[in-house]
Amino acid sequence: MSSLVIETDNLTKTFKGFTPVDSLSLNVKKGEIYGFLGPNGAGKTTTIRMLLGLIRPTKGEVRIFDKSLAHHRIEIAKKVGSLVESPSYYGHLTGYENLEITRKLLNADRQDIDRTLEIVRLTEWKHKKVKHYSLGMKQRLGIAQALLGSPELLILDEPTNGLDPAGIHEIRDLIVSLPERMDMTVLVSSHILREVELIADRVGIISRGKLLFEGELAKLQERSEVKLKVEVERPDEAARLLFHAGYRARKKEHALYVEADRSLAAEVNRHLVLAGHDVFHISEERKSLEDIFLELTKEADSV
Amino acid sequence: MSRMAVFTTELYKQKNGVMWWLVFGGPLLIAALVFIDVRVRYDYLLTKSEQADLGPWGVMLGELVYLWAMFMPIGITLIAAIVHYREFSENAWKHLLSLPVTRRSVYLSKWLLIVLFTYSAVIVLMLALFAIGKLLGFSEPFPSDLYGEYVLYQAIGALGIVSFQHWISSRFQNVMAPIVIGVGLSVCAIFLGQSEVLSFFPHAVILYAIPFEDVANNRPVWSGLIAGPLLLGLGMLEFRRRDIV
Repeated sequence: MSSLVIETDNLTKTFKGFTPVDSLSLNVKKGEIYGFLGPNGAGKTTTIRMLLGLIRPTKGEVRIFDKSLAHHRIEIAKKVGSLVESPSYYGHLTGYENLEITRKLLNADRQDIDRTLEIVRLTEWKHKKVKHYSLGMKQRLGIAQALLGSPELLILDEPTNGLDPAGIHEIRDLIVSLPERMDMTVLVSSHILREVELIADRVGIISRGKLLFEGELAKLQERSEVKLKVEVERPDEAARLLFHAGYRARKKEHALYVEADRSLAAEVNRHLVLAGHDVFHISEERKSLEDIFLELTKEADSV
Repeated sequence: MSRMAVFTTELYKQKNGVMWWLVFGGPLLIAALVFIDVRVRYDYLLTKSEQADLGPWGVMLGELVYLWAMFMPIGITLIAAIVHYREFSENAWKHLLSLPVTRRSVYLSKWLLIVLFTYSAVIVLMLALFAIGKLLGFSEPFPSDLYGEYVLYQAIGALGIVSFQHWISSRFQNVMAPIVIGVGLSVCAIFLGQSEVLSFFPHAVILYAIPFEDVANNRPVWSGLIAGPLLLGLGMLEFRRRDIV
């Protein structure tokens, strides 16, 4: 058996001339937390709905647990828990009754309801109607629904939407503990890099329906180029000087950004000083992940 | 996953809801109107009216038929709308259909649920009419043949309405759309019923369910037996292919 839990091959969805998901090939490995990142409207939710069989792909294939989703959806769905976007519930029923419906359809153990209620800390409110729940409680109920029946794969679309900071922290801790505690693989989507950065083993970055990057975040960081930030009195003149010396330099907000790393800092400095420039500041600048993410998704936008 | 579990969860979702008020309250309200009508005009209806020779039980059905021919399709419209509103109102479709259940079993279970609620309403109405007859002290014995046939024709005729309303209620996120269509067609039932062809239209056939001699009872039979399974099948075909966005 392959170690990939989710595998999509050129997954594409077209709605009336618009393509929210375009030739997407994702690979989620067993036991990992996979962060599915992208700005709003990038195609994350459409992709997730295709992974759950809610939307039919126009082209391409989804394989989960090494089985084709198109042919074995029921078999696969027994081992997948999900929370897609806004929470799904029946407002006139209590939290417990909502879970009872999911439990029956999953053919899970009745004790599982209490266990999941405990995990998301809703035990105290289980006999209250869900329409009287706060948004955060509804979201936690959604997570409880996803955890029912101890699935092997958990698909969470923006699970921290509508939660307060304490709630976000709690859900994050919960997600991190799942692979070890319950032997789960987790795919979690978000439009906020920082949220995923803290928990994900690997990420997939999507924008305009296309996968821009897949792999470890550290690998993404390595892709970012290092620059020397140099502050001098007459930056335009200095830039010309460095250009003649074989460096590429760009002026931005009174500072020069030279394409070089710290090993060349002394040499750049020497060039400038010997030519009569007063150098006030030299430092190495590396882009933050946030910047790389923004740049990556913006580039895709401007295409 | 057994079909039974899907059906029992469908029933479970109607717990504590408005459905029960509709299924019991609706027919009782119609029965109350018939009671007032028959009670107030008792002597006229049984001696001077055209239908007087049908006896008190038949006269009561005659008084009911137009009212019920319009309210029953409206009732089915509302039952179907409520069943689907439960899924639409808080985005429950996407959760339900990502569980290990087939779309076919979900669609069939909801159809069956609407049928059973409709039949329950018809039974409630018949029991209420029986009680009215006893209350008013009808002299003749209860004509179980007449009432039984009426129930049977309604039961068959309702299938077309149920399949139609079930599908359009599943199609529109806005619950008002299927209600406006269903109520509109139900109100038009009296007019549709005048036409030879249109009287076979699902919403019109309850008008022809009354087993009197001069009534063409083939309308509910053909409409129900053809439109019922046909619209159910077509609706299911579309539902199974639908993207849940």
